[in-house]
Amino acid sequence: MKSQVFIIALFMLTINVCLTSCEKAFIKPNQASKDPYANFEYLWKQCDEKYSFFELKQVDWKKVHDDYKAKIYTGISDDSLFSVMGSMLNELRDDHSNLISYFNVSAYRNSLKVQPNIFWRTITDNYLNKSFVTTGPFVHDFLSNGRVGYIRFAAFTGQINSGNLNYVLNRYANTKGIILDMRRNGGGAVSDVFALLSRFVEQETTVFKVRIKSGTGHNEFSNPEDARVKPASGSSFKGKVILLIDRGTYSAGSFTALGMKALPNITLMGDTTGGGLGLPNGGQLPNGWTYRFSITQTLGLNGENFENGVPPDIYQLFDWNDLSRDEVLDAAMDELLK
Amino acid sequence: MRLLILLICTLFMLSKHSSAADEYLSRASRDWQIRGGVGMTSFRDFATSPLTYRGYSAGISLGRLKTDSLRHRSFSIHFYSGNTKPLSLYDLRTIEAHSSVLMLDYARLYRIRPGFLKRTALFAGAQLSANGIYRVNAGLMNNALGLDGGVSLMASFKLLRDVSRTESRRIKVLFIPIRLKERNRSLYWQFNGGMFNTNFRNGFAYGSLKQTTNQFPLPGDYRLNAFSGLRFSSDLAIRQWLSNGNAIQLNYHWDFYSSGRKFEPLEFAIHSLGFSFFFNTRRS
Repeated sequence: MKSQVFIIALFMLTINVCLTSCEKAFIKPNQASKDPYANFEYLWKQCDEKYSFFELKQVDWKKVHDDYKAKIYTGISDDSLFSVMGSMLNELRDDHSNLISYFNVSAYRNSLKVQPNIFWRTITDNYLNKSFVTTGPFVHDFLSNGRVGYIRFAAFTGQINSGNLNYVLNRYANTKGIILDMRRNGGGAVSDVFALLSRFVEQETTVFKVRIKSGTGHNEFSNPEDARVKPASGSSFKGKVILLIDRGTYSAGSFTALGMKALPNITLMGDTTGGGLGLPNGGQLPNGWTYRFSITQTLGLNGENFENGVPPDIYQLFDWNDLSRDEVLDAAMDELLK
Repeated sequence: MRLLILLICTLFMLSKHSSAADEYLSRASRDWQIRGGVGMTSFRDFATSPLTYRGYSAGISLGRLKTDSLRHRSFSIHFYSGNTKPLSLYDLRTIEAHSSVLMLDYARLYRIRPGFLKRTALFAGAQLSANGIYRVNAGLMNNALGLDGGVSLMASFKLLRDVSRTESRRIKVLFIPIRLKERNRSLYWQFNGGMFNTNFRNGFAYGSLKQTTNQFPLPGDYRLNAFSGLRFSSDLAIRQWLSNGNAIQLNYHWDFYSSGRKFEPLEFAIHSLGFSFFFNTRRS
């Protein structure tokens, strides 16, 4: 009996060793590395193969590689390495490109490079009642003696639902039109885009097209797929709509602007959006830092690429010399009431 | 394919030569198996990270087994779930991935070379295995959710050894006499090697257009990759029968899956120690 127990134990031990060895034979060892060159090359290659706007933005990515690799040296501090690699990503001029470490987040910050087209205090002090209403992500009120509905939508927080949309659209159903203010809306949850668009269509409508990187070549993409919007079952708005946009309207904000550009009863007013129409991915470097960059392209119905911004139908800028008036909002009200 | 046909033919030819096996290994039974276990899960999805994530997981399985002297058939469902952390050089306590795995196995094995070793039986056959791997890692932003599926046709080998205690014994532990009763026990080792592996995995850029086209996220950019990847699994177990015909079992389960090199691959491994109850529904 003792010999049998010994044989069993030996058998189990042998099997365990064999299995562990077998597994290690088929997988590469953990690739965690603090080597600055390994991390730099990994990030550069991921971008080189998957980033979606090299050709549109005319970025010479190989030159960027050589320029930034020259700034790295053995023993470089984490802070300096982060600075070099973050700056390399900023060469893409894309706010969907970020490097995230445990001590910093890199960003291109396009919105800080352009003139804002809204000053919120001007609107609250001179246009809205002090008792304006906040419903979910929307701040809203009547303007022009109840003839116009004003809806401020500052961020796609993922909070849009049928309850808050029904309430807001029902409230302004009998006005001459609504102003949807998405100036400096930096984006967020894409699901909110379609929840919003679905309240302004009467039948299933193709609003834009999207394609994704499908190979290592800078211009290798899948076939474009239609983004379609179906009418929602709740309240919808059939009247005139003015969408206010500016250079700070980004990402999901630009998706909404592009979608609304395809709808006949909606007019875009203000400044060209900031773009951000590439859906970003998410990944991790050998040293544990994470990154993201755009891997898709969004195209207009005729194949136009609006990554550099969705232009307004009516161009109108805010005059920063007079903070008592919002010229963009005034123009929108005039447009609805004429 | 030729290899599979050859293997199946060989197994059938060998199984035809079965003779009366010894009484214990020939016993027919139909059992429900309920298993719980704990183990170590590790995975690495090269599409999102070169780092291996590792952590503890809990698992539960439900199986139906039909065995007789010549055939062993089983269908089982396994579910493992747990949290993993990257094996990184930095302290990344804030980055954590939750992973869950669902596996369905159907195995059909035939006895070969009966009587060739005393109290030992060797079975061979095939196992069809499907697996779904789900992970959530908020640190990966739009790639936070990973979903992979795979189906493998595996060649299976099972070595079964009767290690029953046929006579009661008396031993002393710290001068305390203990009587060891007769026990019916078996030890087995089953190894499954994937011959044809197919997986369903996100495409080149590892992203979904469906977020921006307002459509159901699947299949999205998912591709069916036939004859791609690796899959191995094994079980090492010792089972003891109870007087009422039911049984308990201690086992070690290992499963390894790799999605193949067509795109950046997913590697997944589970090592699990489990305890099972067998409820025999065919009393003889």
